[in-house]
Amino acid sequence: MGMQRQELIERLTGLLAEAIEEESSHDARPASPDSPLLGSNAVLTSLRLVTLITDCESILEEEYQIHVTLVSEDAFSRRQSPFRTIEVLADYIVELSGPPGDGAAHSAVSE
Amino acid sequence: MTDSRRRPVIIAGGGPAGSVAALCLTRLGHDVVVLEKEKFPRYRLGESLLPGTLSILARLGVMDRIEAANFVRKRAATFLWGPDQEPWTFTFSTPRTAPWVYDHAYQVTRAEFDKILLDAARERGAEVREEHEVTDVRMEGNGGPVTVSWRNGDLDGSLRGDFVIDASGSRGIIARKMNMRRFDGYFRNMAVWSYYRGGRRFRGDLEGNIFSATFREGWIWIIPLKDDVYSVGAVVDQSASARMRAIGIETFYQECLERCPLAMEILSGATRSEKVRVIREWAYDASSVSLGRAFLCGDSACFIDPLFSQGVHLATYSAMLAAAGIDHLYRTPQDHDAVHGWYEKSYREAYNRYHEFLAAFYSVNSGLDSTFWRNRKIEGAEDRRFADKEWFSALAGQQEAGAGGIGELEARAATLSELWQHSRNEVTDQFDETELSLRRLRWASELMRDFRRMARITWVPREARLVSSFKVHPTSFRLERQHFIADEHGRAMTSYPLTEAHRRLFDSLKTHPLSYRELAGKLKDLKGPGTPVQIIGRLTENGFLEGFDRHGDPVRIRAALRFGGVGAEDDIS
Repeated sequence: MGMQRQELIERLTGLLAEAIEEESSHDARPASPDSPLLGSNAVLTSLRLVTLITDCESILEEEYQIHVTLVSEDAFSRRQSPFRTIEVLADYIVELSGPPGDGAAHSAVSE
Repeated sequence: MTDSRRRPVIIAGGGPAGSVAALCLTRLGHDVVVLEKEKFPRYRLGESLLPGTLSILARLGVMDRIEAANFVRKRAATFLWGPDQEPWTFTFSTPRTAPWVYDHAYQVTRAEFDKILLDAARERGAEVREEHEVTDVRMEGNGGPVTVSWRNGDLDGSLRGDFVIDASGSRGIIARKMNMRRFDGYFRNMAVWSYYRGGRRFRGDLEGNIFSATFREGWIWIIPLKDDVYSVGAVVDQSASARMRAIGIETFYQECLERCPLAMEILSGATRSEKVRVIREWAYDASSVSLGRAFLCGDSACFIDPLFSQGVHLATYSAMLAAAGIDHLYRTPQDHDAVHGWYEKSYREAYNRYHEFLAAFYSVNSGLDSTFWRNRKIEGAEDRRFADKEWFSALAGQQEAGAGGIGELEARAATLSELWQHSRNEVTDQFDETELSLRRLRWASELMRDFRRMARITWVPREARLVSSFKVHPTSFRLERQHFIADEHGRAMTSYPLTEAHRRLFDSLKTHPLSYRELAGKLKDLKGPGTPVQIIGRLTENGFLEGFDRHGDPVRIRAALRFGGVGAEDDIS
């Protein structure tokens, strides 16, 4: 079963909203596809961001049969981090899942 | 005691501890008299703040005044710690999980900062008497009032109050009178400092940072203040005082700076604008920080090495706790013992956290051979200088039991350094904080991977108990009774209040261990403050939970030392 990029962005933004809500005691900041996930304006702590990314891996696997490892040496060694925003993360998932049938994953996210 | 509130709360000292206590108490509706020895503004050392202080000031509604003063914004602390080490920057960046969470602090001129706070306390209804030196505090037994004697020039007098807060700074009126002050065997420093005009200012992500750089005989602080001023000081061992006397303070100070390349680089072209000052800095605490109707706050209770700029934070934090405790005792006098027990524990935990942190930081991060650094090496579990420190006894106990111990402390300190280390060798305007985000993300992912390897998590202590204690409500400043998970000795994990359902869950792990995923799922269902990974992480750090992989081997968590007073990102460590 495949997944559209836009659908993925919406799903990830929903996860981000939940994560911000969990961490915030008051006046949670709104979650959007371009909310900063890294650096001085990040909306989540590092630990919460890793939780979000691993939750994302589980959802892709359990609901869409897409097997990807997002937190990897490849991700950390990129000059532009794939964890900057939800949109960038979605693009990274699209890239990792590869076109259907290339063997990179059982299923894929399409553009 | 009745609830008539006939007498005020008397606060000895109008520095940050006294002013914050007055601001909290007036907000809670109490009458307050502040007796301050000097006329403000007056000079003080201790210019670098932590974000946690801003959090308290914001909740007290005085941040607009602080921001209007245009102090230098401090977003991080940069260390050059040990010879040939890469710089590392402890950034305060944090998600703003509440309006009072700050991702920065300020480098302040204390004369101005302290006056802003004292004026605010006066405007909020505290009676502030400057140039009134407290000369004695007498407490009557059986819940009677306190009598505070004062002197104002040739005049003297006394006041009676329901409670007294000793915020008299290092004078420590009550601690000294009652012989409660205990000097530290480990931190025995001497500070020599002055001020410079001009000098290089860093831009970009290092702008406004405090720099702390080691040299052979100690370390140097370099703090950018407003109006193009730098506060520059050397912290050396007290044994250096003989040499300082021999060559003179000025020459000694200059000699220290010349041995620190970063100081020379920043100060090239700068002009010294003030005399060189010197102070002996013995670290100390008090055998008791609250008793009867008295609460000790800030430096009157304890003082420790200034490396992490925690002085004003401990002062304002303890003042907030003391004010909340006094307010609770006005309404619920029968909680006398519980409130004192809570204050004692809360303040001591905060102080000891810095004590542990600093000792580990000094011990691990220096490869320099000199009296200063040799004196700061922890000499294993038998080091007598820590004989009265609970954190040290706990580690030494672990070591005897064949686990963790002093080696674990050093490993946690090393992990902390690694998390904030730059990927370049020099201090430069091109430094980008995002590289630290990635380091922390990498570490957090390793931590998460280790948790997920746990196929079986057990509860280690004999029992899982729920103990009652207090927390200060963040905006009302009233004490709230909450419950925390603890072992059979009452040792509790107080980061997150938990419920009876949590206790049953943890208790069941003794006979029915769960995997990380199963336990995290059950904790998520129970809801409440703290995410599952935060709760499991803290309990693992405390030694309450232990995880094993699918082969039955223990999974060791690579924890880092925790800091305190710096916002949510500290929670990853």
